[in-house]
Amino acid sequence: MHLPSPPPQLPVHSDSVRPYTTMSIKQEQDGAVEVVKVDALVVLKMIKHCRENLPDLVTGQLLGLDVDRSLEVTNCFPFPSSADGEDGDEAGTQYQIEMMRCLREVNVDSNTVGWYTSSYMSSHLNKSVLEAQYNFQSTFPRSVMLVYDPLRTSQGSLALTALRLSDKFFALYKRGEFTKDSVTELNLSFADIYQQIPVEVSNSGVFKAMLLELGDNAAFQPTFESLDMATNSFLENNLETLNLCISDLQQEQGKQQMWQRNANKVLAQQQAFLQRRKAENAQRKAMGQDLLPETAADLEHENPALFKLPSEPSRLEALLITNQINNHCEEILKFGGQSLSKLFVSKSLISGK
Amino acid sequence: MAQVPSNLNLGTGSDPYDKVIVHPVVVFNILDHWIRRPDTKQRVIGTLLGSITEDGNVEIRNCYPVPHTEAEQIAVNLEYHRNMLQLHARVAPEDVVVGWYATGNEVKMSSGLIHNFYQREMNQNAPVHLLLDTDLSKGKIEVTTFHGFQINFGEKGALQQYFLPLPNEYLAYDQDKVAFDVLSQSATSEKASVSDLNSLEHNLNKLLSLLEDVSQYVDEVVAGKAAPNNAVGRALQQTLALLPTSEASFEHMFTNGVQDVLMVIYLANLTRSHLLLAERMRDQNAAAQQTQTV
Repeated sequence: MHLPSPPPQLPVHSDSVRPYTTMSIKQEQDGAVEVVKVDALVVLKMIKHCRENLPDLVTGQLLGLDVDRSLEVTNCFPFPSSADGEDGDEAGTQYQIEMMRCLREVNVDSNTVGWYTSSYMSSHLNKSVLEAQYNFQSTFPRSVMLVYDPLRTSQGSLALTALRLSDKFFALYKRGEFTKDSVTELNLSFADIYQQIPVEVSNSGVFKAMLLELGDNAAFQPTFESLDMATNSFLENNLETLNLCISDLQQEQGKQQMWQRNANKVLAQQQAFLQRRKAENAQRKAMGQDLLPETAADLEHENPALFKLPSEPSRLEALLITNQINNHCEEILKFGGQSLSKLFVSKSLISGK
Repeated sequence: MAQVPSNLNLGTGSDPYDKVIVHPVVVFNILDHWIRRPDTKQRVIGTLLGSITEDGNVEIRNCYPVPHTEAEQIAVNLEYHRNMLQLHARVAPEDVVVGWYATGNEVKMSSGLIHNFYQREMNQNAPVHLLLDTDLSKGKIEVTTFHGFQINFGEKGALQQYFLPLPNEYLAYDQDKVAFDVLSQSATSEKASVSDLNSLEHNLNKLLSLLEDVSQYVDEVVAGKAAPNNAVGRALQQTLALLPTSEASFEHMFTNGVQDVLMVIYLANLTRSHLLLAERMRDQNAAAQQTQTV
C-alpha cells in the first residue's frame, strides 16, 4: 500500500473562485479542529475507490479548506498503488504534483487538508499509518486522517471516522524516544495517541437538490442491511483479531521482561566488578601503588562491553497494540448495543402481534 | 418532422449500446465541476470513463473535467485530457474513455464537433454523450444520455451528428446506498453526523413509515376504497408467513441471541478494564519509583 507523503509546497494561485483559497498553503490558524465537514462528492469518491480495490487497502489525498474551527473537505483523489518498488516514491510525488496541478486548472481547492485510508477492522492502527500521519501533521498541523471501513459499511452503517495525532503524542513522537520514563512523565495512555474528531456531511444547494431527486430513484432505496440480525460473523471476526492482538501484546511484554532481566544481570555484574576494583585499590593503597579508576564513567571507557546497559526497547508498539485492543473492544460494545436493541425490537414486534 | 431527402443515409442500424449505466459519483462530480466553473463560461464539458460490458451496455464509472473554449471556434484542451487520462489510468487501469459530458439543457451545434473529437479518441468506437440539465428547465436535474449518429450525405461523407437518446439507469452498490442514507439526511436537515446509532435510528424510522404505508393501504382495501391488487396481497401474505408462529421457538432464539451478545459485551468490558488497570498500575509504579529516588 502506498502511504502518502505530504505534497511539496505549490505556488499559490490567485485566480480562485472563493476568497479563502488565496490563503497560503501553510495553515496559519491556531486552535483545534472541532469538526470535519465532508462533501457528498468526497464520500462517494472514497467509497468507489476503496470498493474497487478490495481486498487491498488503499489511500488517497484530501483537498479542501481550513476554516476556523472546522475542516471542510471538498474533493479528493486516489493514490495509485505502487507496484514498482524502486521509483515508487518519486513516481508517487510526481503523481501528486501532476494531479494537483490539473485539479487547480478546473478551480478545485488545491489545499491539502489530509489523507484517507481504507481499513479492515482497525487495521489502520499500525506503525506505518502513524508515521504517515505524523509526516502530514508536521507539514500541515491541522490535517486529519479519514478512515473508511468498506466491509463495515456494507453491513449497514457508514464507518467513517476522522483521526489525528493528539498534541501530546505528537511531541513525544518528535522526540523519538519511548522509554518507560518518557511515557509516564507525560501521563500518556494508549487512548491519547489518536484524537477522534466528529464527522459531518455538508452539501451545497445543487447537491442537496440532486440528493433529493435521487432519493426517489429505485436504485437508491434503502437496503435495511443494518436491521439484519445475523450478529455472529462480525463478532466472531472481531474476537479473532482481538485474540491475535492480545498475543502480540504478550510478545511485547515478553520483550520488556527480557530487557529488564538483562539490565538487572548487567547491573549485578557491574556491582561485582566495582567491588573487586575497590578491594584491589585498597590493596594497592596499602602497597603504595597508583590507584586504578573506580568511578563508573572511567570504567565505561575502560570496559565498555560490561558497562553499557542494553538499550530499552521502544514502548511504541505496546502502546499501539493496546490502542488496537481498545478499539476492538469499543467496536464490540457498540455493535453489541445495537444488536440488543434490534433483538428487543423484534421481540416486541412478535409479542405485540 | 421535416421531409427527409432520399439520398440522406440515416441508417436503420440498432443503437450501439442497449443502455447506459451511471454510477452516482459521476453525477456529483459533474455538479461539482459546474459549481466551480469560472463565471464566463456557459457550460462545461469533460470526459467520461468506464467500460463497455459484455452484454452491450456502457458503464460509466468516473469522469473528470476538461477545460474548453467555445467562443468562435471550439477548442478542447487535448493535452489536459490525455494527462488526466494517464493519471486516472494509474489508479484504475480498467477505466477507458467511453464518452463525454456537458451541462446545459440542449445539444448544441458545437456538440457535434466535440463528439467527433471523442470518437477519434476512442478509436472510432461510438462515444456516449451525457447531458446534465443544470438549468432545471424541466423542474428537476435531469440526466440524459445520447449516442451520436453520423449522418452521411451520400458520397460526400459525414455531414453532422444526430443525437439519439439512450435509456439510462443508476447503479448503486450496497455501500453507496448506505452512504446515501446518511447523505440524504444532510439534504433535509442542516447537518448530518456520521454515527452508528444515528443510522440505526434512521433505518428503523424508515421501516416504521413503510409499515404505516402498507397498513394504510390494507385498511383502504378492506374498507373498499382502494382497488385490491392480487400480487401485492400475495407478497404481503408471504412476508407475514415468515414471522415465527410458535412463541417457544422464538423465545429460545431470542434468549440465545441475547445471552451471546451479553457474554461478548462482558468480555470486551473486562479486557478494557484490564488495560486501564495496567495503565494505572504503571503510573503508580513510576510515581512510587520517583518518590523513592528523590
